[in-house]
Amino acid sequence: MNRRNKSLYSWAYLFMLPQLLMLAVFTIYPIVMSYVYSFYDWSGIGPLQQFIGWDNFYSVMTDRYFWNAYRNNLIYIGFTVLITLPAALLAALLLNLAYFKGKVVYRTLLFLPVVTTTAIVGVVLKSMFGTDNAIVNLVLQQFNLIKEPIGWLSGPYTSMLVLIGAGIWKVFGMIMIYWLAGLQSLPKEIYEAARIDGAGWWAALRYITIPLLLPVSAVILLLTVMNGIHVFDLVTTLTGGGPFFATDMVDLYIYRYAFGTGGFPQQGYASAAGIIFGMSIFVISLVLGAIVQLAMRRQRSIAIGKE
Amino acid sequence: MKPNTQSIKLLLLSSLAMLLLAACSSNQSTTNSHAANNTQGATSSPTAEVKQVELEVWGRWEEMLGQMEETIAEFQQQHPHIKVKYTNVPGSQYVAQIQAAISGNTLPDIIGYHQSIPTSLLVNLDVLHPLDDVLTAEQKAEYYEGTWSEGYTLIDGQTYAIPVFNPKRPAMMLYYNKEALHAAGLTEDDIPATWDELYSFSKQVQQNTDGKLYGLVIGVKELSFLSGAISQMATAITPDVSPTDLFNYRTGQYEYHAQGIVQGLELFKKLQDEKLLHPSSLVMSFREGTALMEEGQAVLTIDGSFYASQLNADKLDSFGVAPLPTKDGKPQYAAFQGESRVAFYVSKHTEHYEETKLFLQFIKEHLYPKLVADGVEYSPLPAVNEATTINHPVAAEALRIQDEVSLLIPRPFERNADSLKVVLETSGKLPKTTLGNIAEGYLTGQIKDVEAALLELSQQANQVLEEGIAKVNAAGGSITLDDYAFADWVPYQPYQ
Repeated sequence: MNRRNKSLYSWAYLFMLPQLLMLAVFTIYPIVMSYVYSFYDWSGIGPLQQFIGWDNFYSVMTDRYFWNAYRNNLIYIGFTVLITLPAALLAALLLNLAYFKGKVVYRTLLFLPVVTTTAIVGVVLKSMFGTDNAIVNLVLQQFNLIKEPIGWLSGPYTSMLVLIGAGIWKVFGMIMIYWLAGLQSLPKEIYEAARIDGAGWWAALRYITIPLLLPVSAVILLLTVMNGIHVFDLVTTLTGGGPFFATDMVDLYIYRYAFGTGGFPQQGYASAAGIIFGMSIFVISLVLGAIVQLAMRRQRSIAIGKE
Repeated sequence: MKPNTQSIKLLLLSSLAMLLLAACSSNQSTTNSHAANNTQGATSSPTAEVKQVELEVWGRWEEMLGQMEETIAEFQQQHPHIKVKYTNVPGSQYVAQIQAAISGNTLPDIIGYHQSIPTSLLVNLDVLHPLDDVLTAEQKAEYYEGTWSEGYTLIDGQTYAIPVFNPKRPAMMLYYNKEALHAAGLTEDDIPATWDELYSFSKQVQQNTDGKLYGLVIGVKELSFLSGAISQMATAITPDVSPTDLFNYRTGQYEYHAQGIVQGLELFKKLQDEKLLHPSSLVMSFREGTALMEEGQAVLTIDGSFYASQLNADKLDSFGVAPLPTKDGKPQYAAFQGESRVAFYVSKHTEHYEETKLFLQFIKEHLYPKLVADGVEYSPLPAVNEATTINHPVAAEALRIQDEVSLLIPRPFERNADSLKVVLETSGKLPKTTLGNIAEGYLTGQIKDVEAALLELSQQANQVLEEGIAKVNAAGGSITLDDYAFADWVPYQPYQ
């Protein structure tokens, strides 16, 4: 390496240093420390003294409220993924049509919830889905769809339904934009060739768009799943995890232990819960990634077979 | 492109210089203010430059915010060199904030007490400043008996906390809207004193107003309010079980499943199932619930004694307060153990101890009477409470009821000081599922067998207690479950 290159590299490393330091202090250190805390009976206040081995992990694994929160998280993720992905793809396909008018207006409207503060969304929806004199019940009663007001947020199933609906509404615009970006990156020549060969819209979608979108879909799927994990603000403001833990989520569960007001906090225990949840989500992500890879390989092999 | 090394060096040097300058700055400044000549204590000669000092205070008692601000304004007027920055931290965030401040060594000069972080823990962590010289022995003797209890205000004989409120708080009670009451064709004589009366009262309100008004509203989302009301009402049925912690002080066992609790839950379930409880109760916070009562959508609500002073001051004539109804009208009690649950500590790392002393002494003289006069709470000084007229009719009655129903219950820490170590061992490990959670689950129909659910909680809590005792003994302590059983206690009689 000549002197000039050495100098360039030195400057490059110097400018990278703040970023690396930030990464080490704010990302790597907390992750490492949460693993350390999980082996201690520690309230988060004072020195780490009581090493308890795997006790926190055992307690989390045997706590039915952890698994209840975990199940709720999976239900929430499952529904948001299953509903949002195809619906947002459909919206993106429509908004990607060349002859569709007012695309910008629709895209903006659909994207608005994404930029709205989640906590505010939760508070507003809580008021809309209230039991007495709340707009949703009033409208339903006005159209004679219900006789008596429904306690949307006081029933275990209805509160989960509202939560999932709110989550979908909030994330829909973002997923649609991902799909749109994917769609707009597809090579136009293939469509032109297909059109010359006589392929219609449906055939182009089935045999060109969807197969070509598969790699992007893996990323979108992963992002939607990750989005579904972090619902703390929405759940806290909309349902508070209730009624009776019906919409409790793992991040809320962890918060209760990490900053609980009913006695000392249990940072060690909360860290163990976070690690178990994080690891399991990592495994789920790997499985999802593997499924998508398999699907892509299958597509490729079919394509090669056809050739 | 070749980097302009001269410019980059210059940029880096400028940044470094700015950092150094910033590091040299301080939040303290000096002044030659003549007004400072009037200050006492920490201020010295009149000609000397007086340091401007800022005291940071964290509290979490919303009800005394107005009185505290007024007191601070008076204090700053008398001590112009001291600025007091009072922050009212929401209760739900208080522990997290203290936790972060201890970890970051950024505790404010004065910190409010929180039951999740007891005095003994803070002293063990060496973050509190002893306050033995804030009050003289004579001044301390003016406080309620039991105020200077080991483990709460005192640790190893040293004072660490200065109380702000009297120890008898809070008691839960029934508030009512007189306009709504009259709209339902009822009078104050109809305010229920028994559970049967509460049931028929709620029915009457609905019938007489064609379902427009409800008899009772109670926002259950701030869960401790419903559980606090149920456990206080339960003392009329199972008086051995303290409403504060659901601990049976005669047997020395947790008893969440006491009959009083079960029957109290059944009462609310009946009201909920028959749509007599305001339908929004299950989705609202306690304050939203009380707002509905104030608006006149429901006649009754349940809240703590501290709520009275927060009622709409322009419409005080419209509100009244009464004791909670009990199953058959028998007496009830709210338990206290001598310690004040509202007190201030001083951080060991404060740079302005003399000023904090001044402020705490000022509070005693100026805040206490304001709290009583405005009906926020009785002060920790009986003499102030007797000498001050409460200028708030509803609060006066609320505080009278609180005084009447408050009962001094047995104190394990007086029998065996190792019980304080057990508190440290068990705190935070008691079941995270609370009576409030169980109540919510039962009211929404998610819990069918409420007695079994409560029994499970009792078993879990007792197991935590036993493990805590074992840990303390393993570390050289000497305590048994017998130290928690006070067979000689006669409920409804203060345990001396």
